[in-house]
Amino acid sequence: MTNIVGMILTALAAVTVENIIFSGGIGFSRVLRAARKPKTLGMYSAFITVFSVISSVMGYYLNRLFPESELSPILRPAALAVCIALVYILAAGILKLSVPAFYKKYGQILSPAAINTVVLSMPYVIGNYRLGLWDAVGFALGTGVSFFFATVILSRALHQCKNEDMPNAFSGLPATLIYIGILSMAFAGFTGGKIF
Amino acid sequence: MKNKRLLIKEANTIFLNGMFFKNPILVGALGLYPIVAAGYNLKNAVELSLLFLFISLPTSLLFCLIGEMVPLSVRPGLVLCGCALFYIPAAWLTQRIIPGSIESLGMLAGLMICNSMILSRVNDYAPTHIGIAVFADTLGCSVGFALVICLVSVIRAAWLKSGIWQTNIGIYGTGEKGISLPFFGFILLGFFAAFVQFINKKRSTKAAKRRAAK
Repeated sequence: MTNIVGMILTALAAVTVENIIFSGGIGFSRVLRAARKPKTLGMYSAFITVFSVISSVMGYYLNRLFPESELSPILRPAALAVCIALVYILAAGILKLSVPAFYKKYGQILSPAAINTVVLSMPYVIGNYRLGLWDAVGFALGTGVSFFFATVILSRALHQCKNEDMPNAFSGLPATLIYIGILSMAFAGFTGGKIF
Repeated sequence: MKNKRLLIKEANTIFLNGMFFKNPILVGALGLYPIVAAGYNLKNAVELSLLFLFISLPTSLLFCLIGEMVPLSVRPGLVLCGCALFYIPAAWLTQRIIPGSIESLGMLAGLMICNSMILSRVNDYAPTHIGIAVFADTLGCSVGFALVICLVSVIRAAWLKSGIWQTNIGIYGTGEKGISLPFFGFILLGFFAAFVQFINKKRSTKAAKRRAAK
């Protein structure tokens, strides 16, 4: 029971005060791409959540395998990335063989949802916050939810950032980046500064 | 001879596009994280630029050779494996050039493995282009990345008023100084992107006028 409550609280923290997307600036290139396709936005976020959970559980055990040493800052990131790559290949293979119709529909978003800084950052976040296994899962779930919120907000903003009244030079991506900056500023106020 | 000159001219155009006119950060919003999170002093900027070059160049050239042999569904996974593999010598080399760099960068260094700019160039561009184009593109993107992160860093560090090489320690610098936080990086990038968009619109208007005159 305590584990589940802890997990929920950590998930809430990941959505609000420890939001790695808005406060940390992690994964915005993926958020922008997901926001451009509102039809697949939910599935994209679901994939991100699943892979983040897998990555955080893997990170929890891998962090123990690589004790702090001179070589660990070089070897650990490479090992984590290879593990995530293998998980992606395995997931793509299983989906392609077992549910080909589903894979045909969502295969294109599987790789960007599996291979990105949000998913790869999970083991580092767990290490920085010294989270236990349940809390790590909670943080990954919360991050998936915050990814979904970010894409929903930006999918509406992208359209408005192409406003004709705006100076030509700022229309589109420049306005979107400034918009993200202002939203991140609000989250920075919420977080109170640095998040790690 | 004429073909060789044409090839060099093409490579030059690809290089300039990657560096400025089609800069993947400012035009495609790729690889934003290291710039907004770590671009607050020039030391971080130089370290990450070196890491970017050392990871992207060999990985791009490798996938230029073998990319088309790999099935599309498996390729992103193998690209990540390639980046992870080349991260080891890249991090070692960066560490040799600037001692203590990888430790001080922490997760920022590790996350360069899945930098979306590197992944997209290696996964989408490299397998379908010839070696010289891939080389020019990777070099152009590396210079473009270095230019953007260094410029952002210099502005933020100058604003922080404590020197442009190394202002503070930790991932996000001193928490109380908002300039070192990611939101300020996004706002700066927005203005840089607007500048590039302005230049590109001017160029396309000029080109259209030239075509109409002909």
